Amino acid sequence: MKFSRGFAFISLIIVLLLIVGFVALGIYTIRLDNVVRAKFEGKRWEIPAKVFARPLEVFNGAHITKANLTQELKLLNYKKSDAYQSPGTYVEKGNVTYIHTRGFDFGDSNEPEQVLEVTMGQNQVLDVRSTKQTGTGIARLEPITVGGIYPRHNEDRVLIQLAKVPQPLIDALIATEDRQFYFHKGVSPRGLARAIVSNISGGARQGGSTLTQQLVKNFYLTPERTIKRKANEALMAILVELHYSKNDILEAYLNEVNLGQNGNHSINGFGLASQFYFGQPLRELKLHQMAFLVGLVKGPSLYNPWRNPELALERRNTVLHNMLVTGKIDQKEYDDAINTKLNVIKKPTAGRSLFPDFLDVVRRQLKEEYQEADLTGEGLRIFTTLDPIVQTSATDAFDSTLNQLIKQNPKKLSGMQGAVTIANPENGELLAVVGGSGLFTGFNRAVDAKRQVGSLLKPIVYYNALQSQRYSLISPISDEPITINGMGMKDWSPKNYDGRSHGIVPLSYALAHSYNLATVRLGWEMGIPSFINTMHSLGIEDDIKPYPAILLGAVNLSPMQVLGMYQVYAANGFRYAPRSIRSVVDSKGNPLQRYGLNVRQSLDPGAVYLLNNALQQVMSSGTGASAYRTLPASLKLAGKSGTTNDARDSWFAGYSGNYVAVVWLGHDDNRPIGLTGSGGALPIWVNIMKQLNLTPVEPIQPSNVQWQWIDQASGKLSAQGCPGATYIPMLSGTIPSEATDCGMMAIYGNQSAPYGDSQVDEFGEPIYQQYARRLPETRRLPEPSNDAQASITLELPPDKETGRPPVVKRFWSGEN
Amino acid sequence: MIRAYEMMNHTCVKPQLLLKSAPLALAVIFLGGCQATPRNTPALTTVITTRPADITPPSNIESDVKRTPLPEYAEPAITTKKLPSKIPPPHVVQPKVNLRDGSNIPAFGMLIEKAQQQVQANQLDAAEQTLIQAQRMAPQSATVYAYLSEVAIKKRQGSNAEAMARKGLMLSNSAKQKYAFWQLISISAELQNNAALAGQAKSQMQQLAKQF
Repeated sequence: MKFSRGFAFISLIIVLLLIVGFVALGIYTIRLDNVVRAKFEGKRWEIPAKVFARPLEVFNGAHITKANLTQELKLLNYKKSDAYQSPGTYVEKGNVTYIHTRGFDFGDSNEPEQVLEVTMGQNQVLDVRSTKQTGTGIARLEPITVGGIYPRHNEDRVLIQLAKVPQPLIDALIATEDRQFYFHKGVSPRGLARAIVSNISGGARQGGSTLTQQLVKNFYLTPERTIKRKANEALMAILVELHYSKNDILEAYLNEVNLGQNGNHSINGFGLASQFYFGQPLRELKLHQMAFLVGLVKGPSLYNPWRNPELALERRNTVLHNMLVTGKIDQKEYDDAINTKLNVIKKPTAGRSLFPDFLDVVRRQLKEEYQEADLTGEGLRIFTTLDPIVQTSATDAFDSTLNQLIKQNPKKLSGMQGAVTIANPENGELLAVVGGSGLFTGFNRAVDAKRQVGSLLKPIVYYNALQSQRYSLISPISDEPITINGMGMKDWSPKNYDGRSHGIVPLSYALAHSYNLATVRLGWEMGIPSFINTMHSLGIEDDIKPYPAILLGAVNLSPMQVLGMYQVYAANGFRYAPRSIRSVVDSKGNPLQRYGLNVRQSLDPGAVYLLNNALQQVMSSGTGASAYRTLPASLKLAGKSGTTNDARDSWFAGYSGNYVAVVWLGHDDNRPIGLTGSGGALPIWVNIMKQLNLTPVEPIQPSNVQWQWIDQASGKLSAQGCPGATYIPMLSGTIPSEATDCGMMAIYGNQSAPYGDSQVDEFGEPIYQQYARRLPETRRLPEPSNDAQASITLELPPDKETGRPPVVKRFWSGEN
Repeated sequence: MIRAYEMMNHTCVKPQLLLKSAPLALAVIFLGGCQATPRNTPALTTVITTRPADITPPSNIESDVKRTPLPEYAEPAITTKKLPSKIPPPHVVQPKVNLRDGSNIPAFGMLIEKAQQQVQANQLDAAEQTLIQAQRMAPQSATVYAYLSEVAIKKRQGSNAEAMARKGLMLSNSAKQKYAFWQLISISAELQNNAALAGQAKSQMQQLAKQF
């Protein structure tokens, strides 16, 4: 009785324990189930923002050389081949290049995969034909990935969809990691038992997990190897299999699995691994490459192809063998594949930025406008203005020329640093940034190194003088010694670089030869406040102290700030807000932000036109003249050198018609480098520019500027062929009213009516101003149409006089 | 037609010429004088001979009366016209610039067409992006800036519209184009409540209107 009572009691306890255990297990399972579903159905991964360069646009008349096109294709890891049957390949035949593009989703538009036939001229595209029709006649190559903005855990991945994953990759994975994948329910009992026994007995650590278990382990659990974790893994794997299809599980696995490490960044998923090891998208990989990637699943560190190439090859061949024995490939495919080298790229690019200096500029701007979490986890796509061709040219020329300079005087120049900034003057887009030589450390000299700029500020003095209309380009100015005192300072007596004074010189000559005395005299006459105001107009927002020495550039500015100033000169007085980002698109392709064209007229275009002429003289006969030993004079480049006291800084800023570039050299600790702007920064500037496809500097002539023949000695009107006559642009208000005898004879000697009605309009202005610059008929824009449809009616308050809303005649609507 | 002022000018500058045409020059000096003109500058007064009005015989003249025809020209009427007080700048050939205005790029025209359609459909952001793409191709096209200004006006961004129009104004090459850009500036002035700018635009438009 006692026994039966005791038995009943124990049975009850056991039953109760079982019930409690089941309830507890149920509760635990429900909790796990919530965890599984929450993560699987929610946001699975934090996807770092990806930063892209500008896409290369190919169209008839595009200003691209064949070398540019080939360079771009190489940067995109296109393979040169005899046929263009697969995406990412190209064929060169004479001046024709056939490109099988990969296509790209820009978010707001989709560039299809297509084959392009591009016929190249000397420096432009002559003809483009495509297998896909576009509405605009423009084909875009996919943009190069500049880098990513990574979260704290430094994971990176490129998400892929299962439908776009090549079947051989899936076959290789299943053949190697889990042959029963499509048949089990998440757990392989035999594998689980083997792992438990191995763990308990302290034997060799074994795998045996199914793909589902591996996913669960990576997705939800810590890497510790305990029975509890293994049990959780099994339970969660079963739950995952209960809720989701095999395809869902497989897709998650392909995106989750860790396949390598690049510095601080882990390489996750096959999408990114493909880029990391081969520089190609997954769908372009060949069988042996896919097998290699699958082999990495077992141990990405152990089978690192750069560190352990033999092990990696062996592992790849094992995967190929698995495919052979499971019938996924035939013997010939197997033989071909195992006889192929690994063919991984020499240097991994994915994960590490190709252009860290530029990326740093982009990151700084983004951090002002976006939350850190959005940048590192929301999969944003940032389309920047970076031009990889310009950037690569700048980086290469900077590094090589810097090394050459250092070799000339290693004692003094060893460790010399520098920076380069390049922009498009006509829209302010930043094209390239070099923040120093060597590895990027975070100190970006293009932005962070604020150094005295020396003579780079002299154009401000000359602009103010020209704009005042008291001076023209050939006005005589004094380069005699000057001493400035007052303002509580001790006397300041600037000197010329050569230590001499040069008497009376023409204004543009003084700028071309960077005479300090003439500049200080002129600047002092124009006034320090106007100098500072012009600096502000050029985009310098810093507080500038009104010391006379600022006239000679005693102001600390960064290469980026100098770039902004010279962009205004290059764009005829119009300032385009510098921008490094074109647009930001979210992970679903919705545009979050677009950065439009922002332009303001900062300086008088007429005076800037004259200043441009003077800056061209700097290059033709002044301190920048050595540039034309390398570059053709037909480019009519404009620029200015800058050197600071004791030659601590060497600067050069200048522009062609399509690029404005600034170079700075100096020691980080401000030791003298002993190089002038012409001797240090200019050679780098020239070596960068000579690699670019340049257009000449041809500023638009404003209506208040006229070119005239002027007698250099007297400043009077002269004529072509007269002794001492020079052909210069002048502001209308400064054209002399007197002429030399020779000029008078030449101008009016053979005319019957120098002041006839046909030459002077109702405002007393000579009418040739209106027709001298007319373009040929074919080049002209259409005149305003009288057609009512060619007008726009705007929703604005009615005109006070007519009582009707304003109507603008749309001359531009007729152009096509 | 005799251009007396021409002679006068030469009289002032080159005395030896005065001797060759002394009578007429003396007349001119009498009328206009040389003292008022600065050295090497033209006289302020000119004499213009004009063709007299056609002389029509009175209708009541008897038809059988033989008449002697009147001379073709009557005495010249003398008028004066104010000329500039200084030598106008001579007609010097100005350098020609090859504008990068997209005229040789077919894709540019297509983008402009696309932008036009987007503006008409009031897709202003898309139109702006299309125009920025076109501007990259043809940075010196007045057309692009005209559309950009129009888009900015429709977005009621007055200062942006003005800036775009000013840039376009600089690139424009006819009085009518300039007129249109001043119109855009005028509207942008309204949006900015800038009476001074509106006045300036109006004045410029009035002057330009006389040229076409």
